Amino acid sequence: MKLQIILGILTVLLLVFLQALCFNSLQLWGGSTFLLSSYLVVRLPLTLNRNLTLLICFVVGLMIDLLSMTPGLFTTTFVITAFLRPYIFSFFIARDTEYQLCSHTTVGWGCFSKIMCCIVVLFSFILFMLQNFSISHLDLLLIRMSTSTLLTIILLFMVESFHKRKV
Amino acid sequence: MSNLLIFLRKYSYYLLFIFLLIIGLVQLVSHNPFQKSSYTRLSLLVSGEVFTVSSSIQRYLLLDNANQTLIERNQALEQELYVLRQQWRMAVYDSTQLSDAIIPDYPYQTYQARVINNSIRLGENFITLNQGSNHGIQPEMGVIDHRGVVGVVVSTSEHFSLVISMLNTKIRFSGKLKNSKYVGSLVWYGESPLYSYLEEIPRSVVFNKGDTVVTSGFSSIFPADLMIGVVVDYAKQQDDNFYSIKVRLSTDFNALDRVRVLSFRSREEQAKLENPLSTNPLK
Repeated sequence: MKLQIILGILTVLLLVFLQALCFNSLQLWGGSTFLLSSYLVVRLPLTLNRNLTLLICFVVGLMIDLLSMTPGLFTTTFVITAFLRPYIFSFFIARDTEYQLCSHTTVGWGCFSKIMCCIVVLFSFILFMLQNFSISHLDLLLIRMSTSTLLTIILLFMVESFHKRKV
Repeated sequence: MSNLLIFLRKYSYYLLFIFLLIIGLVQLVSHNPFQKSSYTRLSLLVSGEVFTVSSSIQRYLLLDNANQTLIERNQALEQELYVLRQQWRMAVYDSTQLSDAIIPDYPYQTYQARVINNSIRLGENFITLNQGSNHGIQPEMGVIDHRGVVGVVVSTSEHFSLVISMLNTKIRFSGKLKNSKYVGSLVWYGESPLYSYLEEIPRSVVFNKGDTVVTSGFSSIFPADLMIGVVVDYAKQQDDNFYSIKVRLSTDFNALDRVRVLSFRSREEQAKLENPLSTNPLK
C-alpha cells in the first residue's frame, strides 16, 4: 500500500515535470501543445475522497504553474476539471460499481476512451479559454484547442497502452 | 453552531471548490499582465453598466424632488415676472418716476397641492385636492398648474378642497385676448375637454388664429395675464355684434397632478370694501 502511494506520488511528480519543463515549452502549429497532466485527472483513484481529489489537483496545478511561470493558469484549470470529474464519471460509469481506478483494464477501452476524451476536451477548453481570456481570434483559439486535444488524446492512448504492457 | 458544522460538512466539496477556484483566479488575474488588463477592462465595462443603471434608478427616484424644486423655481420666476411687468408698465407711463416708484410685491400667496380626484367626462366637472383649510386653502381661491388656469376652489374641509373645473358648464371665467383690452367670458359647453369658448368679444377687435387668450385680472381670483389657451377658430354670435372664439385650452385636464392655489393677499380688505354693510357696526 505504501509502495503504491510512493509510486503514485512519483508518477504525479513525473507528470508535473514533464508538463512544466517539457511539453509547455513545446509549441506546435502556433501554440498547440500536449496536455499530459490531464492524465492525472483521469487516473486518480475513483475511491479517493472528493475533497482530497480537489486538493491534489490544486497542488499539482500550482506546481506546474510555479515551474512553467504561468501563475494561476493550470491551478484554475485543474480545480475546475477536478470539480466536474465526478459528474463525468457518473455519466459513464454506474455508481454501484467497485472500480478502484479508471483504466482500460477495468472499464474497457470504449468506456475509458469516452471518459478520457471528455476530460481532455474539458481540460483543453478551460486552459485555452483562460489563456486567451477573450473570444477574439476565435478561429485561432479553436484550432489550438482542437489540435491540442487531438495530440493529447493520441499521447494518452499511447501512455495507457504502455501502462498495460507494464501491468 | 451544530447546524453550521452540518452545513459546512454537507457542502464542503462546493465550498472547497469555490475557495480553490478563487485562489487560482486571483493568481491568474494578478500575475499575468494580459489577463490582468482583460480583467480590468471587463470589470470597468461591468461596473460602468452597473453604475449607469443604478444612477438611472437614482435619478428616477429623485424625480419627485426635482419636480418639487422646479415648481418652486417656476413659482418664484412667475412672481418675479409679475413684478417686472408692473415696473415696465409704470415705466411706459412715466419713465422719469421709475427710480422713485414703489415696486409692488406679488399680491398672491401660493399653496401647492396635488389632484387626488378629477373628472372631465361630465357636464359639471369637479377636482379634489389633497390640501384643505388646515393648509390655508379657502373657497374662491384660484387654481392653476404649470400650463395654465385649472379652476376655482368652491369648498374646503380640513384636509381636502373641492375645485370647480374650467370644464364645468355652470361657471364662466373672465378672459381676454393678449395685447387687447377687451374682456370676454370663457364658457365651456360640455363638449371636448380640449376646447372652450371666449364670448362677448366685440366685432371691432382685431385678432388672428393662434393668438393667446389670458386671464383679465379683473377679479381677485387670478392675476392678470395667466395663460388660458390659444385661438383656433371664431364665429359670429347670434346677436351678430360679438365674436364667439374657440380656444384650445393650454391646461391638460387629462393629466392634472400638481397644482397651485392662489390666495389674494388683500382679499379680506377688498371684501370689506365691496360689502361695507356686512361689517358696518351701524347695520
